[in-house]
Order: sequence, then C-alpha cells, then structure tokens
Amino acid sequence: MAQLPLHSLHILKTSKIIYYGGFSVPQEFIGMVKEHEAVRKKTGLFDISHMARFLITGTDAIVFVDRLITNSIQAIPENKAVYALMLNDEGFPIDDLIVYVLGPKKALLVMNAINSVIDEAWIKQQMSLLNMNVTFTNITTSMVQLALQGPLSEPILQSIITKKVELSMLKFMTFIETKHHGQSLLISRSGYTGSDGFELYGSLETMTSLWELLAQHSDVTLCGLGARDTLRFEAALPLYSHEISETISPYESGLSFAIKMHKEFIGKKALLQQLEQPLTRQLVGIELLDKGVVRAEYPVLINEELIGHITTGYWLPGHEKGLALALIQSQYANLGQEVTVMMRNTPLKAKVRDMIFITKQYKR
Amino acid sequence: MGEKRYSPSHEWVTIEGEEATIGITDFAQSSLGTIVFLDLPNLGKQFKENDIFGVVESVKSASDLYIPMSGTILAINEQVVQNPELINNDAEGNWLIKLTLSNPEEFAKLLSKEAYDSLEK
Repeated sequence: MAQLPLHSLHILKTSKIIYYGGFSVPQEFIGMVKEHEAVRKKTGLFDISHMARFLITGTDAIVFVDRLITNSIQAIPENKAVYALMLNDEGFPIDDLIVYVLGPKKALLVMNAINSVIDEAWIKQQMSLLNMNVTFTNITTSMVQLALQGPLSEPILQSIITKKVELSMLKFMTFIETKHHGQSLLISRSGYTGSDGFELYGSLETMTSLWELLAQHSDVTLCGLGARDTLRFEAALPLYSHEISETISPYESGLSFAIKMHKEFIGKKALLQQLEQPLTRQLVGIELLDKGVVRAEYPVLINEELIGHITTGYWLPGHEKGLALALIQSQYANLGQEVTVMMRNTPLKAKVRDMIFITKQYKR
Repeated sequence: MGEKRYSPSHEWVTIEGEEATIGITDFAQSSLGTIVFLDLPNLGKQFKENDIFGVVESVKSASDLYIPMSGTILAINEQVVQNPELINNDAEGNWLIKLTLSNPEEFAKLLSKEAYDSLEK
C-alpha cells in the first residue's frame, strides 16, 4: 500500500488511516463532525495527494486533451480550471476530472484515485489511436496536492504566500502559477466541499513547508477523507462510483453543464443517441420523514415497487434529519413525492426534495 | 450492581440475578465517531448469544450490535434512543437494553476488564 508523500507528518496527528485508491489516507483527525463544521465555519486542511495527476505535453497536448473530454479547453480564458468528464465510446463516464491548461503544449489532468489505473490505460490507448504528438507523464507520486477549504482560507493562505499574488483577485475555478521560496506552486481557487477555498499543487519540499505553516495556524483544522465526503455530499457534489459511473449516463447524473456539444470529443456520437431517448432516471435529493440513516445502495420504493436506489446518504449535524442523494425513475422525480427507503429491513418514509442541502459559498 | 464484563465485539454487560444490562464500550463509541441513530429491538424479542440485536449508526457508518448473552428483551433505554449522543458522552454509563437471561452462566465466558483492555483492537 503506497503512502502519501506527507504520510510521516499525518501519523503524528492521527492513527485513523484507511486504504483508498491505492494509498493510506487519513480518515479523520479530530472527528468527522468537528472537521466538517470547521470547514463550514473556519477552515480545514486536507491532503488529497491520493488523487491522480497526469501531465500531457507536446505539440498536440491541448487538441488531444480537448478530444478526450466533454468540456472545452480551447478558446477559454487563461488560467481557467475546467471540470469535465472523460467518456468511453458508449458515452458513459470513465472518470470526471479537472483540467489545468498550463501552456500551449501542456495540460495537467487531476482525476479520481480509484480510477487512476483505468484512466492511464485509456488515455494512452487514445494517444495511439488518434496518433497524437503528445507525451503522457504520471506525476501522482512526485507532487503533493492540498486543499484548504472554508471561509477563512483566503486570509490564511494570503498570510503565508508571496505578496505578489493577490488571492482576492482569484475567482472560483481559476488558478495562478507562482513561486514559494523559489519553487513552483500552483494555486487554484477550487475544491470539492461547497465552501470557498483553494487547491494547492507543488513538490514535496514546497508542500511540506506549506503544510506545516497551515497546520499550525490556530484557525486551521486538519481534515480527513471522512469529512471530505460529508462535505461534498452536503454540497450535493457528485462522486465517482456513487453519483457518476460507467452505468449512469452523464445526463442522469445532471452533468450536462460540463458537456459542450459544439466540439468533438470521444463518446459524443453515443451521447447524441442518448439525447434522442427520454431521460428514464434522474438524480434527486431525498429527505427522511422517519428517523433513520440511509446509505448507498439502499432501495427506494413506491407502493412496494422498486424505483431506484440511494447513491449517498448521511445524517449530518444541523439538518436534524437523514438526507440522501438517489437515482430514481424520472417519472417520480417530483418535489414532495413520497417514497419509501428500505433501511435494512425497516421501511422508512421519505420524500423527494431538491439537492440544495446548503448554499455553496464560491467566490464568483 | 455487580462486576462488568465485556464481549470481543465491544459490548459491556452487568447482571443482577436473571437480569442483564447491556451497552457498548468506550472504545466502540470512540471508533464509531458521532452516533446519530440507534435501531434497537422490540420488547419481548428473544435472542441467542452473539445474535445481531440492533444497529448503531454513526455519521461514518452503520454497525451491527451483537448480544453478548441469550435472553428476552425486557427494556430499551428510550433516553439514548432519543439522544444517541449520550453514548458518545458516556458509553459505559448509558445502557442500551435490559435482558431477562435464559442462561446466566454465559456471563462467565465474557471478558474481564483487564482481558478486554488487552485485546488487539
């Protein structure tokens, strides 16, 4: 099992380590609920170096990546981070990702740890099929990726980086390449928590220094993968293998905003066919009317007929009821529709609701 | 109340005559994290030792509860059902169920505090 580059620092702070996407990753430090609340009220620091990072370089780098993904990275404003899907030929997601265009011949792809092996094989296969002049480099283990998330993240980060970078000028889903003590640091105003914040990319040396400065800050709470999941769920952000998968169409996942039909990309032909059919399933919010907690895979029923399943569910402090995301038949995806969720052998009353469990706090 | 004994699945038991009081250990609550829901059985339900008698839900996950002794449910602690965080505050002081025992001798098979504390967890 591989260790994160900062593993030796984490184990000084927590013993709750889990195996995820090929890495030993901290599950929690002071507890999921406290970490979740810290991100919403102050700021949390996550090491998300387990995520896959691929560098695509060469004359055709931008054209190639643009073909690989559903969103457009051509003719976009400089320093825009782009969320996209990488589809298979059948029009289903192999993974979702963030793309950073770092130059006319260079793009950084950040993808899910659990899919990294499949992603790498697919990208290399497409490189050879499309006969593109590009080089693929897996830089996952040679780079550290931190996420600083929460309402205080801007002043906290500003206090430890160069004054030449004005973070207040950086809007959501934009990035800047700068230096920290003479070494490269990429700062992206992004994250997967629904709170304002930044994702930081750099070498082990640079990031060790940054992590230590941030971790000792009195308003920063160290956070693990557990809180990362409750936070992304509360913000109704889809997670691959739950709300996104190779068996769920991107339209069922509600991801049409990341698909640009005016351009060519792998899987487009199949998507056009999907669009000719009415949408049979849809992602919805679920609110429990009975007391209980529902989890992924629990069946959703109406009058004992199976109409879908829970994709993620939690009981979160501050909500006072069980909440979930569910993939259900579109005909029942109406606000207020009463449904039954089977919690083991107990039927629980619930209703369909919107997916706005909280208002996202992005800096636009 | 007499001696408290422990199961390897992290429940504690005290007995008085043919009545047992059962809860989960401090280690269990600490591993579970914030407990948000308890699914406990109906009164009168019968169990054999090591049967699953309920489920404890934390923010993190759902975990089965194993009954350390055989018997019939005599009472459930409504107070912790209403306020599951009481278990996080004091797991050893807040019981979950009371049981009318069908075989009080099973108590001897459970672990002493020292033996439980020395388990590999």
